[in-house]
Amino acid sequence: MKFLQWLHRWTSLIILVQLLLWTISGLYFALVDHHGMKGHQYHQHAELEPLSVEAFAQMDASWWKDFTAITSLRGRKIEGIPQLVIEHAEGTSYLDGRTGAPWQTHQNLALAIANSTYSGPGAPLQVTPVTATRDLHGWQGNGFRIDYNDDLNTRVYVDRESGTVLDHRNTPWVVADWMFRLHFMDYTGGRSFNHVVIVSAGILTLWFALSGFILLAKLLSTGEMRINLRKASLKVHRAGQQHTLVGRQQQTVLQVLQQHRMPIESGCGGGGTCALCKVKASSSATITAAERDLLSASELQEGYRLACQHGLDKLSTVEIKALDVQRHELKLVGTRWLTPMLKELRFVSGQKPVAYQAGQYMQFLIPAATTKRRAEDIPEAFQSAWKYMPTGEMQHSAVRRSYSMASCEACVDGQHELIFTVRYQPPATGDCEPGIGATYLCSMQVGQSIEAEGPYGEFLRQVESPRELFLIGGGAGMAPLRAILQEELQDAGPRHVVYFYGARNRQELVYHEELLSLQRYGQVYYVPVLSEAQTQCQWDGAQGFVHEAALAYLAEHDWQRFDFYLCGPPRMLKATREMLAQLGVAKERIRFDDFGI
Amino acid sequence: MHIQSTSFRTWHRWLSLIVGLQMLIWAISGGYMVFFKLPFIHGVHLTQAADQPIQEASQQDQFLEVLKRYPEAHDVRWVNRFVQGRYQDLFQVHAGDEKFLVSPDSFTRLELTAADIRALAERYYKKGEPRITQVQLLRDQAPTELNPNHLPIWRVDFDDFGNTSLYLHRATGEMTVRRHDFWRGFDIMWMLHIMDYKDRTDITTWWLRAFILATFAFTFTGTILVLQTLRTSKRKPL
Repeated sequence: MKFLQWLHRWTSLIILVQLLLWTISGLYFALVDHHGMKGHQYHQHAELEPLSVEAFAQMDASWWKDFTAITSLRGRKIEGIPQLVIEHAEGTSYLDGRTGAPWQTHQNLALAIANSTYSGPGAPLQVTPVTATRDLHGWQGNGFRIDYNDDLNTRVYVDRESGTVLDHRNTPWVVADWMFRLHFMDYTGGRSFNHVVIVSAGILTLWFALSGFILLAKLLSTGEMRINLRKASLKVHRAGQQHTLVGRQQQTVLQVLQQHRMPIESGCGGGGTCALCKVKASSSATITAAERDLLSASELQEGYRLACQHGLDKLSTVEIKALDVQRHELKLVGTRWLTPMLKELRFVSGQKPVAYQAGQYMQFLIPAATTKRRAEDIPEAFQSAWKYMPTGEMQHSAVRRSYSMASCEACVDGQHELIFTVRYQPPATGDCEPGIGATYLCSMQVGQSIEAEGPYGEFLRQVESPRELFLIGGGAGMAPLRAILQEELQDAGPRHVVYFYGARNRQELVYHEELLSLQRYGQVYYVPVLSEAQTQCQWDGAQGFVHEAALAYLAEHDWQRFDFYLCGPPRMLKATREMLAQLGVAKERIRFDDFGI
Repeated sequence: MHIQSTSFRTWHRWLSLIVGLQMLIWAISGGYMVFFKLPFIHGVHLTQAADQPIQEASQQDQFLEVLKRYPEAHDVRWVNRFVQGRYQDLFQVHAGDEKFLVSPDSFTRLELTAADIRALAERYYKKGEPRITQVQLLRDQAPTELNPNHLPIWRVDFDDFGNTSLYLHRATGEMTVRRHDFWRGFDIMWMLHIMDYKDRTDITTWWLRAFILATFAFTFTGTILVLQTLRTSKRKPL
C-alpha cells in the first residue's frame, strides 16, 4: 500500500497539469454547450431556389464529354446562377450552368454567398482572398474571407472553386478551439484525439485513477473514513504534564495535536510515510500497515505509534515528547575552516540557551538574499582547492536547511555555544549554482544573526544500553557523531567507544588531532580511513571505504558488544547499513542519521 | 508549519469519495475514445461507393425534362444506381424536404422495395461476403443508435464481427448511417463521459458541472499534497 501511495504520488506529478487542463476545458464545454463552440451563432441556411428549365436551357452534353466515368451530375443554383457539379474519375468539377465554363466566384459573388448564410446584426467589412488559414484546419485552396463588424468578429469563408460556404468562424469559436486543443492535447488544431500523446496520457490517467481508487477502497475497508461529528477528548502527556484536548472523533491524533499547537514533527502531512509523528500510546493499540513498515518491532512493542494513523476513537491517551522547537535568534560568534570545504561555525542564542541532546539538529531559516558564491576568509592553505569554484554573487530564495550540532551541550565553553560544521556544496554536475544553505552560512560574518528552529532529531545515544558504542561516520557526518562521542565521555562511567571515520584524503580529516589525543588517553579507539589517499602524503593508516574497514575490524571482534551509530553521505550510509544487516546486527541496535533525501 | 496539511488530506479523501468513481469512469471512457481511431468508429471501413458511371450522359434532354416535371426541385442529381435488379441511370430529385428517385423512362417517382435495399446494401458492404440477416423499414421508432430525424429509413443488419447495421435512405437508397458494435461501445463511453444517461447529447447538465467543479477542488487539494511532500524531503547533505 505504501508503494501504491508512492506510485500514485509520482504519477500525479506527471499527469497533474494535464488533469487540471482537462478539468478546465471540460468545465468550459459544460458551460458553453455545442452551440457556443461551432461558430454558428450568426449562421443560417441559404434559401433554396427552385431550378428552372430556363436557367439550364443552354446545358449541353458536350460540356462534360471530356470527363470519364461520371458517377454524379448534379444541377443546383448558387445565388440564382445555375451550377453543375460533376463527380468523375479525377474528382469533382464545377461548371457554370449557363455557359459550361469552369465555375468562377468573383469577389462580389463571394460576398453575396456569404451574406446568404449570415443572420447576424453586422455588416460585411471586407472581402479578402485566402489560400489557407488557421481558422480552417487542413483546408487549402482558393477562397475568400468575408469579415463582419459584429460583436463576435464573425468571418465567413467561401470556396472559390465551388462557390460554397466553407464555414463560419468567430471569437467564441477560437476560444472553443483552444479548449479542444487543451482537451485533446492536439496543438496542431486538427482536433484529433487518437494521437500517441493523448493515448499515453490516457493510459497514465487510467492507472492514476485506478491507483487512487484502490487507495480509497482500502481507506474505506479499514474504516478510516467514517463520518462522526461527535466530540472526543485526547489526553496528552508531555514532560510530566497532562493536557486534555478536545476534537472530533474522526480526527486523527496528529490533527488534534496540530490544531492545539502541540509541537510534533510531521513531514508528509498525515500520509503515513515519513514516520516523524511518533507518539507513545499503549502496546495494545492496533498497528497499521504503515506502522509495521516504518517502526521497529521493539518500538511497536513499547507502544509507539504514528499519530496520523489513529483517530481519537482509537487512541485517547498519548505521550508525546516535549519538543522545544522554538525559533531562536542565533548570532555568529566565531568561524574557522577545518578542511578546504568544511567550515566550523559557532553561534550563541540571543534569548535563552538552546537545550539539546547530542545528535540533534537545528533547522536554519536561510532568508532570500543575494550572496557571494565564495567566502572571503578561505585560508591560504586551502586556496588551491577553491581555484575552480565559482565567484561573484548569486540570488537565491528562502530555504530551510538542517545542520546537526557538532558538540555536546555540556562540553562547550562559555555561553552555551552551538557549533555546526557546514560543508560547502560545489555546483553539482548540470547545475550552475553551489548549495544555497551552505553558501549562505559560509559567507556569514561574525556578529551577524540568523533564525533557526529546533532542536529536532532522534539520533540520540541509547543511554540505558549496556553495550559499547560503535560509531561509523563519513564526511560531514562527523558533526552528530562527535557530539555523541563528547556526550558519552561526559558521563560518569563512559562506555568504550570505537569510531571509524572515512574521508577522501588527509586534508579532509576533520577534528583529526582532537580525536588522536582522545585516543591517546584511551577513551576512544579512533580509526580514520582514507578512500583517496594521495601518494605524496605520508599515510600509514587504513585505506579504502570506511564500511569495509569497519567490517574487517568487526570480523575479528565480537560485534555483539556494540550499538551502532551511523552518519554520513547517503551512499556511505546505505553501504554501511547493508554491511551491518549482512553481519546480522539487529535493527534496534543501529541508529543512523540520514541527511540525504 | 504543517497545520494545514492534514486538513488538505482530509478534504482530498472526502472529495475522492464523491468524485473518485466518476474520475475512474472518465479515465476509462476517455481511454476507450482515444484508443479507437475515429474513422474506424464511424465505420468508414465498412462501406464503399456503390454507384456506377452514368451510361447515357449525352441525354441532357432527360435532365431538362425532369426539371420541367418537378419545377419545385432545388437539386437534381443524375446517377447510375442498382435498382430493380440492374444498374440504371436515374435522377435523384430534391424538392422541399423530399428526396426521391425518378426513372428516365416515365419520369415518375420510383419506390424502392426491400429487395432493392438488400441489393444496394450488398453492394455498399465492404467487409467481404455480406450475410444480411434483416432488412426493415423503420417508420416512427428509431433505435437509440439512430437520430430520429432520419426517420423513416431502411435498416439492414449484417451477421458479422461487430454486428454491422447500415441505414439507407428510404426513397433513394443512399448510404446514410453506419453502425457497428465499436460505435455502440463508443456511444456508451460518450454517455458515461458527459453523464447524460438519457439522450447522450446534453453536455450542460447541472450534475456534470457540479462534478467537474468538485474534480477541480479534488485536483487542487491533491496538488497541494504532492507539493508538500516534495518540499518536506528536506535534509540536504551538510
